[in-house]
Amino acid sequence: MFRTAMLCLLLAVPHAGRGQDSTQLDPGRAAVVGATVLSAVVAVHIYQRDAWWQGEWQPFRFENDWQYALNIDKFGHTFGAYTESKLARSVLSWTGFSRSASLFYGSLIGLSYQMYVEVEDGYHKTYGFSPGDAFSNIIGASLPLAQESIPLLSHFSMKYSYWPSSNYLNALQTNQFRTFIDDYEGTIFWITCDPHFLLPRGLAEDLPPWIGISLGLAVHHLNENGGGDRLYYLTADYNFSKIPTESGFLRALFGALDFFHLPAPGIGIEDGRLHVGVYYTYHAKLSL
Amino acid sequence: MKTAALIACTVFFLSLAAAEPDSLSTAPLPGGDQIALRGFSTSLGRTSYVSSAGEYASGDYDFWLGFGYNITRRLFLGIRIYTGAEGTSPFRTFPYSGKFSLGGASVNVAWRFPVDRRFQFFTEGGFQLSTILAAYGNAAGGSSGYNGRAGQLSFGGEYFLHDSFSLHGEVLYRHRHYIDVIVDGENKGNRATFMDNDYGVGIGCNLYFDLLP
Repeated sequence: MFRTAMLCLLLAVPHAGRGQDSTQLDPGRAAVVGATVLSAVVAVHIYQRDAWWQGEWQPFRFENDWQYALNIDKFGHTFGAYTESKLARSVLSWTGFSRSASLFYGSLIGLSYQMYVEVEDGYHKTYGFSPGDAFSNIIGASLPLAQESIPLLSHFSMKYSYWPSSNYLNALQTNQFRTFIDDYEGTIFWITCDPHFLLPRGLAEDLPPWIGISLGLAVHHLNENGGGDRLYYLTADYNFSKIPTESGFLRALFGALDFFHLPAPGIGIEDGRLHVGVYYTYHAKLSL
Repeated sequence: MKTAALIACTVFFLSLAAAEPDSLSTAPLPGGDQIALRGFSTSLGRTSYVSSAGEYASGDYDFWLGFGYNITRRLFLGIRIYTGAEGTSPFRTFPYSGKFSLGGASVNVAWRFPVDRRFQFFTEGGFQLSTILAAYGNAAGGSSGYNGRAGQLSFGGEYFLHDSFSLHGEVLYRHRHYIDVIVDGENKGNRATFMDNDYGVGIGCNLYFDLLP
């Protein structure tokens, strides 16, 4: 819900991400953003209270969960903090914050939101404050900063693809508050690369600028004992924001699409075997 | 002996501060003097416990990742998040063995002593909240979880390989005081008290971002 709200906000900000040298706040836009974010925070808190924080509470404590879901939840925390930081950066830029202010406060907002969730977990009997989740939050929120400081990192990004797994759909029959965010068997987290900087000049000029490559990680057959199978994918990728356009709306739309990995041809290692196909998620693919 | 070592370290770093060239105290950090991702750092230590069950020792390690803000060239304020484990074995009057899972977080303040543009000494102090849980094996008296507080102090050196990247090494001391409700296990809800003194060494790396508005 939070991501959906932020995505809608992002699509409403045609100049997002351009950035300016000094902060010149637009009061109208600032009011829209403030009201939207405040509403989203309240709505998200209510939603998460129903989805995650039902049941017994306890005094705050830390608890390591390094065996949970084959650690793919750590990719989820990294991706969440990364996405929220970039979305917040775009929104702040739209309201008139300078480029550096948008970048810094965007990451601060992304990290603060993720850590708020983690602290709430610390009071819940089922979870506890997970240092591993916090590590992932810090890394994810720092990535936009690192990409600005270290040019090499700007060629890499994180993306997400999701299709509900059968286990999740079955569980929904008994618990309507289960959230798709925890449906790791329906998710692939991708690390994408724009390979043009690696290629010889001639080859780089011949390859369309919107073509990239991506490495995906997914899990399957998860069980309560920390067991399961890891799945790996290497596919083509689409960098929509590299498609030239003069339209502010299309630029914002392409920027939003770049958070997602759309079906693309490649190879996958599933259940120890190499496959060739077009991959979106484990449950949504054309495997040859 | 341990107290003498701490006093020696303090005198050493104070003398460094006194001998520091004036130009370095105002020079910017190589990578900018704003925000920092401090982490991928690990420390290994030896813990001596004093508890109602008697004195015993354990080996421990922790891994931490943190972030913070360079208030000035010399002063850094940050947060560290810890994960790790402590393995205990029968020692003196303590007849138990087991393995504790360790998690925590601390607020830290560091003070730097620049030697040249690429190298600096630092001392860092912090206040830590932590939980130890007996994830596997037996634990003292059947108890399996404690919340605690700690004070920590470390001394070390940091070398900048690149304007935005540095390596550091440190020696650290931590005094933890677990006096809290047992948060799990058959004695849940009872209060427990025990203390430990932890000595360790750590290595790690840091990323700096000169991006603050």
